[in-house]
Amino acid sequence: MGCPSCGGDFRIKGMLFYFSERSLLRKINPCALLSTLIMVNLISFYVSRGVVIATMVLMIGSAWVSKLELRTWRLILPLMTGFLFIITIGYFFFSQISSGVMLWKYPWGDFVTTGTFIAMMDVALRYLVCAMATVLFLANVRESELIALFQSLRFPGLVLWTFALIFRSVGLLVSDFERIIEVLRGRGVGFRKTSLPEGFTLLRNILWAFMVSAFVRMDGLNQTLYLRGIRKPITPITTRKLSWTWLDIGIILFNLLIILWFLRN
Amino acid sequence: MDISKVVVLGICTAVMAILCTSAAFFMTIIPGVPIGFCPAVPVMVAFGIWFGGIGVASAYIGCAIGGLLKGFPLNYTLVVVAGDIFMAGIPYLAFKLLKSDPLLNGWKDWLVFITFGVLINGIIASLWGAGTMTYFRLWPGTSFMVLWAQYLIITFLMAGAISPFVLRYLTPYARKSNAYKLRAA
Repeated sequence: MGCPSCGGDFRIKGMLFYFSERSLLRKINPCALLSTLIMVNLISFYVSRGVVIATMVLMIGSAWVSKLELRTWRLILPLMTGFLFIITIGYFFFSQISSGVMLWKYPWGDFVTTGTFIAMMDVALRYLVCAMATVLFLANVRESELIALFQSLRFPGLVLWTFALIFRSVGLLVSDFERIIEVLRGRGVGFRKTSLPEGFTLLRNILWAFMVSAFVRMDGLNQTLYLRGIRKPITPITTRKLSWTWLDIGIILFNLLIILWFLRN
Repeated sequence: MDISKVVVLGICTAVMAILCTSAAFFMTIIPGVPIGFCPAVPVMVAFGIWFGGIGVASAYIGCAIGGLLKGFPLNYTLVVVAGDIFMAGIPYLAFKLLKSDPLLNGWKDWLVFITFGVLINGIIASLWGAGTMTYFRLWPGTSFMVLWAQYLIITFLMAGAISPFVLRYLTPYARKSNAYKLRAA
């Protein structure tokens, strides 16, 4: 029996996103998920358009079964939109793709054809496939599982220690950053379109506060380690053990075969 | 490696990753910023000057993590953020070899900073950024010069307008950290 508000579907905070323990992708080993992420990123810009569209459909299906939250999309969609906007500007104003019917020409020599739109959509789709794969990976793997993954891949202790610190610090410093924005809002700073000098002043002030908070965390952590007598990162990190199934091994082998085929061709 | 260096690397990398990811947030409040805008740029110059190799490594790893969090393709991200090695590494080498003060007290420090911390590193990093973006077809290859000009303008603006402030006012904080003392020794 679950709690009345969430029906037993508890949300767990990962490095950036909240995710559901009922997600089907949570049943897959992070190593298999990582191999899929690498495979998709490697091949997406080189395979035919049909394969990319099929992969996109698969990604949307995976997002559906992983029960991604609305707030996850609210965090990631502006970033995706921003990047798609950059691609659109590049192809719309500064391209010279001659295939298809000529639509119009700019005074600076670039022109737009029907082929421009096809090329633009093609690149945007390939980018979205990669972005979706990254979001799905990050929204289904906790930082402790990432460390366990690195440990299972036999990474040296120094690397494990460093990445463990990075993943934990990202979560802490993101909350610091959000607090700085909240404090500025509380003081009446309006986060709306400003003039360029005002925007740069605001950026400078946020950077200053953020950097000071990072230095405070750095000093605090150094002092704690010093007081505990830790001088070198040789302390073994206790992490969870990853469970393996035949499905995980099958996924990894499939991805390896695709990567090898891709590298050969 | 000393534990305090690992701590500095970890925290600096996290700072870089968050600033890289927050670019979209700043783009909504600062109007008309061109492509290549990254709030991590002025900070990575300072990290390079303060922490040397650790600062440069944190610029690369942090921006790679930030790029992945933004949803950039893995292979594109790992290549494009190599430009940050030039952005942070060139001022580090210049300040070390020419024995300049990060507090920018004298005209010589300012000259070294503007030459190697804004101009030379900015030109190389923006060439790299625009080159990789057209190589991966995110922008058409014919638009390389337009893209490079945008990169160059925003890199000069960020490194020239904000990095001196970061160096002048935050160097005392950085000097308290063990990594700075270890580098100086």
